[in-house]
Amino acid sequence: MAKNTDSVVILGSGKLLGLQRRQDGVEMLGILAILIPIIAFLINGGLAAANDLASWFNAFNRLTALVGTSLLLIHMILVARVPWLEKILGLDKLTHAHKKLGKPLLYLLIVHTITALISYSISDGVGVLTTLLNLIGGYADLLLAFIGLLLMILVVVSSIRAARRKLSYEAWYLIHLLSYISIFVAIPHQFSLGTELLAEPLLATYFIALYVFVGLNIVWFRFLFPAVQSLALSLRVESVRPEANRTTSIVIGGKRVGSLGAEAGQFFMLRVLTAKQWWRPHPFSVSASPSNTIRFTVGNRGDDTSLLQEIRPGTRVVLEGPFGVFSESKRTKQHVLLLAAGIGVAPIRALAESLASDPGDVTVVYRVTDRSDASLLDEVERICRERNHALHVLDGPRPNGPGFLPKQQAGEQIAPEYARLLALAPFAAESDIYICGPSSWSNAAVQALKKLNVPKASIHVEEFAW
Amino acid sequence: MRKSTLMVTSLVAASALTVAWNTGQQTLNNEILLMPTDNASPAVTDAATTDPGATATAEPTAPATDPAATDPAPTQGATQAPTATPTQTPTTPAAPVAPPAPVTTTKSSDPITYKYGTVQISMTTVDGAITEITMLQGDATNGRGEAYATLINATIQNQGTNYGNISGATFTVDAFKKAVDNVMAKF
Repeated sequence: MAKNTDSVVILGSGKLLGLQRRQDGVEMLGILAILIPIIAFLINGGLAAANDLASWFNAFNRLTALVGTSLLLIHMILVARVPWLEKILGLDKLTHAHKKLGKPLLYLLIVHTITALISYSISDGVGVLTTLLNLIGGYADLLLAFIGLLLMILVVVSSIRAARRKLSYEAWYLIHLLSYISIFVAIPHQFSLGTELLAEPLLATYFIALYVFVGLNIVWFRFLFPAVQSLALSLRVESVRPEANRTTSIVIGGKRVGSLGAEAGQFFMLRVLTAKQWWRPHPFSVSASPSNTIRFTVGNRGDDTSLLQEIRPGTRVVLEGPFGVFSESKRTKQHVLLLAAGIGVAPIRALAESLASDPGDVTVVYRVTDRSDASLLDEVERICRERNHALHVLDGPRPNGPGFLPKQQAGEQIAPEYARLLALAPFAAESDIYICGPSSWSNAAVQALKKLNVPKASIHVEEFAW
Repeated sequence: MRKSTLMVTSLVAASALTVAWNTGQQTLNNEILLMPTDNASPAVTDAATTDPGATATAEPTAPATDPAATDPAPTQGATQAPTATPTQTPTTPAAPVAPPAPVTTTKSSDPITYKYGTVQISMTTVDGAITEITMLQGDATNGRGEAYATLINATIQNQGTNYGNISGATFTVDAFKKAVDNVMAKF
């Protein structure tokens, strides 16, 4: 069995089952949150009572309102960075789900608004526009809710891909903050006018509890806790060291840094408390974490990361995290294959250093364009030598098509990538595989692994470009 | 989610929804049975029968002036049984023996306090028929003013409180109906 320096690492199919159960558990929690109001609505005869056009529209108006509210709360908790969810699903998956949920949620709220207007306009015998004016003119809460809807449309439109390309990050971020306002202003009409909530104290209690629960999670985990913790530990930049290939290592120190409990492969949101950057955190993988410091290795990609190259030692920072399930916590197999490209080497290096292993268990593949300019290469080489990991540094230009291995040279035996990978890592199919690099590169690697019939649960991908 | 878990979850969810649907249907049927079927009362046209489709501007659809001509009481589907208070006013005013002198009476209700304030009305009847209602007290914010106008019309047209709810003004409607019942008991 694997040996580790300090603690016992549990592997095996039992662990895999446990991990899958927990994941299914939280996903079911989300389904339940949507199902409960629908069931309550049906029990109260919400749909059964619909008998003409106006009441059918009204039933849909109320149903979409209930489902929309539940989805909205799920949507919010997905980005609250709550540890109890994050440990199971990982921040990148949560963020991905949040992105995917945005548009359907907006459509649901628009359907809610439109069905409400149509239903009222039929029963009043006036036009839809008149109804809208009557409602937002007559009810302050509805005016607020309508403003909320418009804000939410703005937020979603600003987040679609085409708009994101044109907007600066700052503009997008500020617009996105409006979503908190849009949610707040929509709350009054739910409780002052919502037939469901007025008539059903139980359902109203359920939604109030849900609002409070999500609200407290956001306020505490997203805002208060990181600030309080970082100030308590008085986290500061200890040193800054330029590395190869325009990358920089930043070491963070403070009191009891070990109490943050970062595992190799995880990352933090780093918020540098300078006038320019305090409001804008960035995710960085831990590239090394000895007991009393945390080191990040940051590539200079021209944006804020270039400001980080000039950060002064002593600058206060706030760390949010640790985040990510790109760590030993998801490992269930004895053999491990680590795939890194470019600056994606940071978490891979940390994993190579700390994974419990016997000699030969771990294979490291490090893909670089130019060997002489590969960041952390000397460290990776030293670790692999000391711990007896197999190391393959693959340098060379990109292939013409999609692919994650270097372009094949003239005279080389032409072979598909999965075959070349198998030659490098014979145990690939029975390994846990950790992949970190640009998303197109990671996707190509995952494609090759699928050809080798590697189960999905054994592939762990960390995207650093988001 | 694993396939097996997803299948079990979907099955459980589907059966829960079916049970909920059936329960809803049954509750509804029971409530219809409980509805008063007072044929003497004028056509009870609940614009908002099923559940408050009506806004503050909703009006009962059938003209109360000619109750006999319309099919009386299409009450099926009323979820809000309690709103259809059994308190009825005789629709046809007691046949006047001496036609020339109509008796006009005006009385005030007790103030009815409820969640959003107090409602107090004054009612005028001519020969026992409700002809005028004015608001003595009543918070008119948040569209409630509009709601009162609708409720006054509905009460006069129905000669009582046997009409539906106004979506979003449930408590106000209840309080208003209580005030009407209260003052009618004084005549």
